[in-house]
Amino acid sequence: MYTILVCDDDKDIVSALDIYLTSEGYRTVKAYDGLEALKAAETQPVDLILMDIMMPGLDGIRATAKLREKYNVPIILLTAKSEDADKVLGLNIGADDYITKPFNPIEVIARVKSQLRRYTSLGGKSGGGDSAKLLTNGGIALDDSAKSVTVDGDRVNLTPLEYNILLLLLKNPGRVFSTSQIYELVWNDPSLGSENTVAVHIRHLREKIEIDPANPRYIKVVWGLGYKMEKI
Amino acid sequence: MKQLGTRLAVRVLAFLLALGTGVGGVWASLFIFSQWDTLWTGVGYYSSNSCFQNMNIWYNQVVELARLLQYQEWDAKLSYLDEQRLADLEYKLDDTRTNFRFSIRRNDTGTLVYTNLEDGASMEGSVHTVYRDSISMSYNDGTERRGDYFVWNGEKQFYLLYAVLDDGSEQLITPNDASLAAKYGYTFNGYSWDYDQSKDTRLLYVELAVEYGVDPTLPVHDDFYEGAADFTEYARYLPALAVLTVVLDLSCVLLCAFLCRTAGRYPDQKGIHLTWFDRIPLDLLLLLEAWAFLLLLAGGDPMAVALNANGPTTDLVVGLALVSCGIGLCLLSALLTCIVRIRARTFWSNTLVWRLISVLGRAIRNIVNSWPLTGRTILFFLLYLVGTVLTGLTIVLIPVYQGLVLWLLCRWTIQWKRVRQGAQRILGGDPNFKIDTKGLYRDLAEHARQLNDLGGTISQAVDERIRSERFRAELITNVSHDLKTPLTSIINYVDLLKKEPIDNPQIQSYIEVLTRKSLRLKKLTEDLVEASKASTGTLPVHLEPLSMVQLVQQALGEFEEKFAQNRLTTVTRYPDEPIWIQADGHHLWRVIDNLLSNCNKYALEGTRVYLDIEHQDNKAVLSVKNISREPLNIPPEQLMERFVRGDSSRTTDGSGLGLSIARSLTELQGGTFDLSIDGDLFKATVTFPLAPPPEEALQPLSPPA
Repeated sequence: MYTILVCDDDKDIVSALDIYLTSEGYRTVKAYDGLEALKAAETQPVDLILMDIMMPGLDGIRATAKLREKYNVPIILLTAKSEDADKVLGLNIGADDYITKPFNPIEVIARVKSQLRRYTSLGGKSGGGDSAKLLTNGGIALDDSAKSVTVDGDRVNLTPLEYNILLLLLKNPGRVFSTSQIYELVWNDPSLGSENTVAVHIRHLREKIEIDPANPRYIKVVWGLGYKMEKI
Repeated sequence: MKQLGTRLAVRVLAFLLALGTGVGGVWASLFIFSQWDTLWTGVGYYSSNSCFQNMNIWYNQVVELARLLQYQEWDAKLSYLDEQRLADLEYKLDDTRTNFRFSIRRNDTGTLVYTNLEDGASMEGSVHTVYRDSISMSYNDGTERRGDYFVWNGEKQFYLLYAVLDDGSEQLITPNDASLAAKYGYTFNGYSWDYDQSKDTRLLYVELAVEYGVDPTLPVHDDFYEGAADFTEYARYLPALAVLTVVLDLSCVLLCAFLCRTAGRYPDQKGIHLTWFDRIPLDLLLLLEAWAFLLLLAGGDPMAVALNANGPTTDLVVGLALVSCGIGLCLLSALLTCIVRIRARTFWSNTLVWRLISVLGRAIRNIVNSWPLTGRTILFFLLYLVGTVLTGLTIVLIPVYQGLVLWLLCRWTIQWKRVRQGAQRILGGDPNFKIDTKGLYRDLAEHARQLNDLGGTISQAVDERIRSERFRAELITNVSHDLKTPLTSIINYVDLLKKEPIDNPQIQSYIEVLTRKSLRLKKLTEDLVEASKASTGTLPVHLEPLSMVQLVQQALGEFEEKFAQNRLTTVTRYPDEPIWIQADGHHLWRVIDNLLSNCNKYALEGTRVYLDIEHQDNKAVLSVKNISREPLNIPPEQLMERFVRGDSSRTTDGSGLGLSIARSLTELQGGTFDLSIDGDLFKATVTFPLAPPPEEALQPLSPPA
């Protein structure tokens, strides 16, 4: 059983998150500002922290920075600000993920699960497995010999085309492929205006892999240029 | 009358008629005047002027004849030329060559000297009317008497006469010698002497009586014969001609009156209309017409003389008619244009003199209006002139003085340039800039100070505006942030409610409404923040070259299933060559996302959505067209305003900010965004300038490892 520290100055939000997390079988510790969160983390072992940014006293950013000095547990930031600058700042000081308010409970659970799986798998199985056949990026693992894909340990069922697209992107992380390039390389046909098909397949792929397909973590849309696998 | 007169054809006809009748009337009048006596005296040819004129000519010849005859008698011999003249006259005055009859007699004795009457014929019986006249002649006229002189006798208070005798001696004659005095033609009047040439025995003196007249039987074909014939002929048709003259003159006057009355009025035009002719400056026009008039007159004069001398010939008549028409044209056009100008009140104003005066007047008025300044300018100019005159006396000082003036002028120009550059800086976005007024000429310094004040006002206004915009953007961000926190709780607890076992279907439907509306609220707050950022320009923009076709394809991939749900089909048309534009991919995606969401929300089910990318003069144009489900009775400009939506009932889940965001984001990236509505056809156009393709796009793709 994992212990999750929930920290937000809005008590209603904390108790709502508490309800969701306990119903998923997690134990929760509540805190209502940054200092309380620091104390709670010191008094008991915690596996994951959900941290609001805007809080009186010690705010979420500074609390995260302080926590990172001692712990490497996953920290997910909760933010009402949707500016990219805030997200980048949060990620830079050591947060692992962020969720923008108002959030969807299902998304919160999914992200919590994802972070916990990565945290535990990184701790347990780092360096293991057949690296020649195994392609990994973040929580995604693709075993080309078994033709199987797992995301955060969960098996994902892909169609052959989706699989081949994912394979192409995983082999070239960070590289941008245009739709016609993907078509030519995956379909093995000259692209003759069938690029819409590629976009549709990639969206399906995103829906299967990403927690929030509209804000993908792995398969990023580079608008006007193509798609790429974000290196994590 | 007035309506008739405004028709052009009528006007032209009247003009030509007036010209014709005028010319005809003038000439007919002239002719009538020349034949005035023929018409009015009515006493017959022998009392007419032409007859008298003729008789006069002949009488003068008779006088000449009489003189020559008398001299012949006195001298017994004539000079050669006088003899020839005498023979000539006798020949001409022969009764077989003229109808003129005359007789010359000595007045004292009545002896006949010469006549062309037949022998025994009496003067009264031969001529129509006898005219009589006398001729006095003296031989050695006055040569003797020239020596006579008077001497004043103081005692007796009278003049004594000294007469010169034939032999040259002088003889004193007193009043007592009356008989002697009478011999020399003198009579004493008690004081001085009267002289009568005819009684002076020293002189040869004769008085001749001439009787003359015209033979009314006119046996000879001469001037009198022709004159009489002409007279009778004219007398026959002159009355008719006189009537015609009166008619012509009258009709000319009437036509002119008609033309004057209607001058300047045209059909379908109110007031007075000025033709090009009426716009020529009047003084110039009149000068030209006077010149033409004088030229025509000078040309017509010899023709008229020739006509008088030789009678009418075809070329003369045609020439005179043309000259007369020309003169008539000058006069009539001048008259009409004067009347038009008076009516249009441009008689004085449209003259060169007036214009000159008004230009001068305006110049003077301008100078007076801006007096202190112009006064200074004039003063400086006068000072300059005085200086020039004074330094002109010393040759050395001329270059020094003129150089000084030139330097002052250049200094003024430089200062003026400083002010102008300052104004440019203030206008060019640096309203805080202050022009340095130190050392400037007085007027320039004042101007510069005003500009500085203006710049200060501008910068204050700009600052205020920026502050208020920033305040607004911050306000919206903060408010939406404060909204989001409670909204999070609402969404979460509604979700929790949903999970509770509730049997009452009513409550379940209530929860459904809460779910929907809380999600809507979430979307609204997100859009609000985005719209505020996009419109205030606080959003960072990263422009990079990207392919518009690629972007649209990616966007369509995102929308495929949503469109399929509403049975919307997409029809795309892309250009053959790749189209690269400079834009922020993420923002442009939001623009297209908004447009496609709009289609999805508002397009009629089962219709097609058209996406065209075109290449138009260095621009990439993306147009999205769809058929609206609801009637669009809103102008496109209004649709782009915030919170305005195509469906006035606002039943759909749009925020009304989509198009506003799309436009703001497009403009933020340097593109243009347009909407047009044609019935139910909704069309959005996004235009971006073309950009060169990125370098890696030009290289062929190497297959991935």
